[in-house]
Amino acid sequence: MALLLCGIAITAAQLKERALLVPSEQPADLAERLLGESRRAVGAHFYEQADAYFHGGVPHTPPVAADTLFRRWRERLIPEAHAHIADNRIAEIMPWLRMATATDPRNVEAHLVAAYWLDRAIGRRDAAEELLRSALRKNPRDYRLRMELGRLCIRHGEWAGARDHLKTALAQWADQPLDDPEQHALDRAEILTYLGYLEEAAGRLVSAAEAYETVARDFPNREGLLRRAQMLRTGEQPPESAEQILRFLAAAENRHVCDRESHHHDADGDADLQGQGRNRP
Amino acid sequence: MRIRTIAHMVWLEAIRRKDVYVLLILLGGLLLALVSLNVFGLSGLVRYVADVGLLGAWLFGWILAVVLGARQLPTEESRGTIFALLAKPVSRAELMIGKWLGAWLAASLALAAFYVLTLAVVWARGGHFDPVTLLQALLLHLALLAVLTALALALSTRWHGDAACAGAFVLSGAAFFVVPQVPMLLPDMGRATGLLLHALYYLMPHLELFDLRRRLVHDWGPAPWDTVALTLFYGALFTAVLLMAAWLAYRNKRFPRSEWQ
Amino acid sequence: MPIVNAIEIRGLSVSFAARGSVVHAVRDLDLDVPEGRVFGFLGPNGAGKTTTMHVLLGFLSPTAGRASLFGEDVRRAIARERIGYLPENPDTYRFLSGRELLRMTGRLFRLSGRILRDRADRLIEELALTAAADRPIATYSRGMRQRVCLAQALINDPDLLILDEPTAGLDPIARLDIRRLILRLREAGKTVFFSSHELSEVELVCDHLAIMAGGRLAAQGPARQLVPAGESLEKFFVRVVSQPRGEM
Ligand SMILES: Nc1ncnc2c1ncn2[C@@H]1O[C@H](COP(=O)(O)OP(=O)(O)O)[C@@H](O)[C@H]1O
Ligand SMILES: [Mg+2]
Repeated sequence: MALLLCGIAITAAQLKERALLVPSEQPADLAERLLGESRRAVGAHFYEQADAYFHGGVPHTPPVAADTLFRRWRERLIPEAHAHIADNRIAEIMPWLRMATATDPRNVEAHLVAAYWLDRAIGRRDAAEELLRSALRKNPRDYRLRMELGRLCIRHGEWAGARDHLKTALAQWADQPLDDPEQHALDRAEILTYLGYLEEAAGRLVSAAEAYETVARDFPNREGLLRRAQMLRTGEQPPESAEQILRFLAAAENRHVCDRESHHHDADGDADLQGQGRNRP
Repeated sequence: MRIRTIAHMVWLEAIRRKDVYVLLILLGGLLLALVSLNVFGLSGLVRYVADVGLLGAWLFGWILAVVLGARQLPTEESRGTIFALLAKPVSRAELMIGKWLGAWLAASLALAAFYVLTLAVVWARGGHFDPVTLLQALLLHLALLAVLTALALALSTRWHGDAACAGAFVLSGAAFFVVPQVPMLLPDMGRATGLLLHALYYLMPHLELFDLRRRLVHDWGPAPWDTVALTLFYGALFTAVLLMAAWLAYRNKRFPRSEWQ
Repeated sequence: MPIVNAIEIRGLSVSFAARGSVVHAVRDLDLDVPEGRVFGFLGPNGAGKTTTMHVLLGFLSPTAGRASLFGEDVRRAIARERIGYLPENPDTYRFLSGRELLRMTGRLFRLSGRILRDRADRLIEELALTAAADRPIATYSRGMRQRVCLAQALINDPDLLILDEPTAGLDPIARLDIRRLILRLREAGKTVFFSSHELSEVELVCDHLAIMAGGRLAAQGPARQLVPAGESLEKFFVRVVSQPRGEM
């Protein structure tokens, strides 16, 4: 089955490439025609596979009810405790993300994750941006794509571009609820925070202060932001400039808590594949 | 000598039919497609090729083992060749073992070819497998094929070829995918069903034990040899039990005469 | 030295359960086939000839009675060491060539090397298969297939040959070949036990006859003495076979 899926994904990916070379109006949504609704499941399968690779080959397994003889036996052959692979081996997960994005162009999450790693671990900003833009053609209203494009720009110090993307993302945000309302709220906070720093860096202090205050209203524990807004409104100079913070954010490692328990990591890429680089700042 | 001759005939039939070559070509095509997949313009990626290649070897090896095991006795019976064969000083136990051995060896050789093909592509791409882990994975895989051919053969003593084939796929698929999950179902079950499932869990072959692919692909190094040896023994035991069952079912079987079909 | 019969059948009965009713295919059969004879086993279709042969070859266990070949109980594989068997409607492994089939079959009798090669070559020649010997049997005509099956029945140089309707469905020339072969085997001192319902065939080669009807032995004896003077074998056969058969 999985083999068949791979075959389909590869064909889809290759036909799509050809279709892109020939700029005809027909972005050849082959996967869609071949698989119909099941492409979601197929794409999700590849995505899972990518996640397993990220964890050194260990897929997510449901909690074990009983510690049986056979489970222990299997455990000796194929241990389930897992590790994260080092950044230099991240590339190995890319084929699966490629297949996931090729089979289900509406799997935005797979595109986000693929773009993130393409830029961060592999240093292929061009490919990351192209991927996000192609996803945007399929999902023009998904704010997460604009948000990721904005972050991509921030990572490369392109603040004007970042501002445009994040503004669009903010405008789209309200129209698109997520399954996870908490994540939804966090996303807006992240967009607004970035926008605040960007506005501040561009000298539009009032608009920056408004952004900070909106975040602080939803997340009262972000007192730092509230204080920064007050400083801006009273004309006080914050201890760190917005540019400094942005540069710091661009360089910072994205630290995350993995939702899996008991594992050791290959290197400092301490993160989970899903929600990579999100939930910040 | 008789067992060897019967096995030899199975082998000759297997290599003179096209199935093995078709599967080899399919696997080659799949690997080629994988290698030519454009992954965001990245180069030097190899792990997914190894992974899918081994998956192909698994799938095709499984298919071959079941098909070869299931068709031996039914074709002898439907063609009526069983009569000329059993008119020789060949006992039914010898026939059974010879058929199993031939089917297993043919499936094993095809499997080796699948591995070689995958290895060649992986090596050509600059990847590698740890040789000891590879050996372990291959040994366990061969043991799995032994169980699968014995299962298909046992079912074919009483069922027609197609039914035996389908039955063997369903049973072995269940043993691979479902049986390991049984302990997770147990808490939701009533006492009687729970007990039954428990018995099933321990009596059905645990085919998932023979799958070392993940260890191999992700380079975790060799598994402990004592566990590997134990697993090989487990496979041999199941093969023997299945062959014994097959012999019991076949010992006094009456064959339909071909003219009536 | 005690005289051992090539075939000895005592009180043999075979019945099949078929869709609720019971078919008595063979009932209480006693039969001796002495060594060195050509023994014709006659009877109309459904008389129980094939069933009897299947018991002799160990394919079926009898409901009652026993049978032996050269003194060995037919349930033992060793009883089949010295016999050759041609099934009715014979077929064989089509993926092998004729020569391969003979060699493989020979190995089942633990023959090997020079002996096996020579014997296979000789049979190929005797049965006029030389031109086709290395072609897959799948390409053989019906007559050639029959001959190659006969050849594999002869590979162990058997002392007893059991042939189930060897001439059924063959053209006159092929029948003649089979007849010649049987006579040649008799000259070599072999025993031939063959079934048929074609009387002209039987008359020409047999020196001993047994006639089955409805699973029972209706008549048996030396070919010359069995049929009363003045009666043809055909008339005799019809008379014997149409006598009351019990509850069949
Ligand atoms: N497996 C079987 N099941 C039921 N009836 C059978 C079976 N084999 C043979 N018979 C019956 O036994 C009888 C004898 O058949 P057979 O030995 O083939 O006769 P012959 O060879 O003399 O033509 C027939 O009535 C046949 O229908
Ligand atoms: Mg008959």
